[in-house]
Amino acid sequence: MEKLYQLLDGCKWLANVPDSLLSAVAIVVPILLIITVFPGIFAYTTLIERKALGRVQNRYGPNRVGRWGILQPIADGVKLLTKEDIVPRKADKFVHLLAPILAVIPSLLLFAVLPVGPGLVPVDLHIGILFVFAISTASVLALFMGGWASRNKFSLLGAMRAVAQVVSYEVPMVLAAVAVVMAAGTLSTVGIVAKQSGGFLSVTNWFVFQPWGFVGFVLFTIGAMAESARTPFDIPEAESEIIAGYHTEYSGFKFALFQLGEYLAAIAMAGITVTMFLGGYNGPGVGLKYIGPLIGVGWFFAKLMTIILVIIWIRGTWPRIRVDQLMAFAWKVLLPMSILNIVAVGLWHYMESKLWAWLVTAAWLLIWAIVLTKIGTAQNVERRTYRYAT
Amino acid sequence: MGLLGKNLFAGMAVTARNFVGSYFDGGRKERLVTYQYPEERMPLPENSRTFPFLVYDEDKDPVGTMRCVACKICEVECPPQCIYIVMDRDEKGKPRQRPKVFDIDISVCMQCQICVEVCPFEAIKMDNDYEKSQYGRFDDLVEHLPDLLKSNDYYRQIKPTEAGAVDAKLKAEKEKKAKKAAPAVVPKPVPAALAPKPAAAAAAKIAIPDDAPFTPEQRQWLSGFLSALGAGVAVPSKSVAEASASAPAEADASAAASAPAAEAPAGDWPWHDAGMGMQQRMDLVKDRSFADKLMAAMAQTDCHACGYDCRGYADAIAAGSENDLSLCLPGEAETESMLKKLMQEAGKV
Repeated sequence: MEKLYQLLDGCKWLANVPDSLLSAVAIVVPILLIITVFPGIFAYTTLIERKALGRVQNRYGPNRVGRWGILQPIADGVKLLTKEDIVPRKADKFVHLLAPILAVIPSLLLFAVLPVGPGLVPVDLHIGILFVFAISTASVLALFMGGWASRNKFSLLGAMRAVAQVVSYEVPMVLAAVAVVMAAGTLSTVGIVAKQSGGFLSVTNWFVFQPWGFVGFVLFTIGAMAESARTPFDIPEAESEIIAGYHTEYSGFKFALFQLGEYLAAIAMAGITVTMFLGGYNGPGVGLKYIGPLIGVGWFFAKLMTIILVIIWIRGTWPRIRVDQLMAFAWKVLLPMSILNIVAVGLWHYMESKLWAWLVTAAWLLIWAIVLTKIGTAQNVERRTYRYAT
Repeated sequence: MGLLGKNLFAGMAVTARNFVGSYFDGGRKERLVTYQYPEERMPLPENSRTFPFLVYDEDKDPVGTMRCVACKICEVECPPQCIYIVMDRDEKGKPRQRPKVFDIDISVCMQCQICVEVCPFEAIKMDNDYEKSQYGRFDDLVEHLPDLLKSNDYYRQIKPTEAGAVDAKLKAEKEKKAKKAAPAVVPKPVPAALAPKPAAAAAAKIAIPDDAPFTPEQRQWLSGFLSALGAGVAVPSKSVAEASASAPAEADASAAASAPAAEAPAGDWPWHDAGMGMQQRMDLVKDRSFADKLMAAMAQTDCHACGYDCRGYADAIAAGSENDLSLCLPGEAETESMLKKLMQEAGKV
């Protein structure tokens, strides 16, 4: 934003335009880009998701609207816009209306600190990562409002599950991010990406190639998937159990807004993952003159889409986990692992020889990973007896 | 004890193989099994059927060459009663032996094919066109004569085997008729005695025993039902039975011995049932008047192909005002020969 302002200010042929107008333009342009590009990605992510899930399950995805179904998101949008908006008679109408709006706004705000290319960040906050977590947690409020205001058992159950799940997975996620912040020495997203630049082909310095970074990447991805209620962790909207969870009573465009918020949060979280662990826009060719930033943007979106595709792939494969398994996994495996990961970062920081540091932290994390998964997933359930069975 | 989550990744390998494989020719057929309906269609089995249609022979004149003679057997037999037929007549009221109105309500039709099985003229066949959606729920789902008429070529195209058999049968019948028409002097009972009589044999076999615990009404219904079954089994024998002059007599004798004629109250005609076989009908009129016997020889469809209903035709013959015995179309040669036999017995030839 500042850079854009400086750029505009520096232009000689804009010298007569008042500063206030220039700064307004510098503010509005990134916002417009965010609210057009990312919802566009959202729209086509839904198409890609449906097509990929179809192929995974031995069927064609949508292929009727336009060639390869390319206009399907538009048709979906038109359909959702023209659908009747039904509000339950006993619902809290104001909160019911407010919830989907509140679901979208935090998701959009997340993109404010996402550096999509060299120097291309809407706002370079010093506390970028803190901002991300503060905002992303706010979305759970929208889910709970939606569930509560609908005055529907299934909505309420879904909302309660959402709250329990998001609050639980927030903890290991933040602690995984703390490791990155410790290693980078900054909370700024731009600073974190800058720390990962350089190295061979601008690749080797990515945090994911260090033991603690890899563990942090896995922890953070799991947490992000749980927080955006993606498939193995989609119990807040488990269709087979509670219809659609907190958005059971939503139809038409309010429903679309919930979907938009959810997908935008997932995309933003994928973006944060890329920024923190996968080197952001860093990649081969990013240091080149003139076209370097463009390649950087390309790398960023390529990594983003890869993560989204993997999430879709997981959705097409894995079954939903049970509520007790979900909680046990968060508190017994992810949380201790993220704390031990912070210890690993400390070791990494204070060991002089990076080779030794690599080996020691890798061994430390591997041992704990095995121990914790053994403990955390142990089933201490008594063998079930069937009283009336013969 | 394997690595934790090993099977999760094995599952991801399976789905990845599905995903990637569906984009290559090798895996495509095996993986993407969906038929893309309007463009791709599953090949229909030859015996698949949807709704009936009426066969005509020549494209130049569909209405003139249609095989249907409006005998209304299918209308009578249709279990859900979805067929409605009105005979076409000329200005004088003489039947043209073809339908003026032939409606099939495909919202009622249950695709049972009984109309096809009872049709003596091979005029109605089952289509395999399944795209019959309409916007209206009532009138749009009633198919009228122009929609129902389809050529024999179309029939050959959709059901080659069945249509081939039908064509051969019709050709044989035509030749036989031509032969019969040319040397009219050849005495009939000679070939009839040589020909096997599966229909008669079947009818005799399924006669109900005397000691069976039935009331007369039940017995009557049951014998009609069984004879219809027997006729169904012996469908190919129809052409053979054409000249079976002596067959009914034999059957009469055996049936009379085993099953006494049911007592029918005066004024109603229990034999007036198109589902009944000739033997049963003749049994029922054994002790009735000559006109009743004549009537029982008719096909009982009241089709008016002769210009009367069945009662009227019988009365006209009995009264001597009608001399032509070959007017009953649905009854075919069976009725004609039976009428001749009755006339001979009564000495009225």
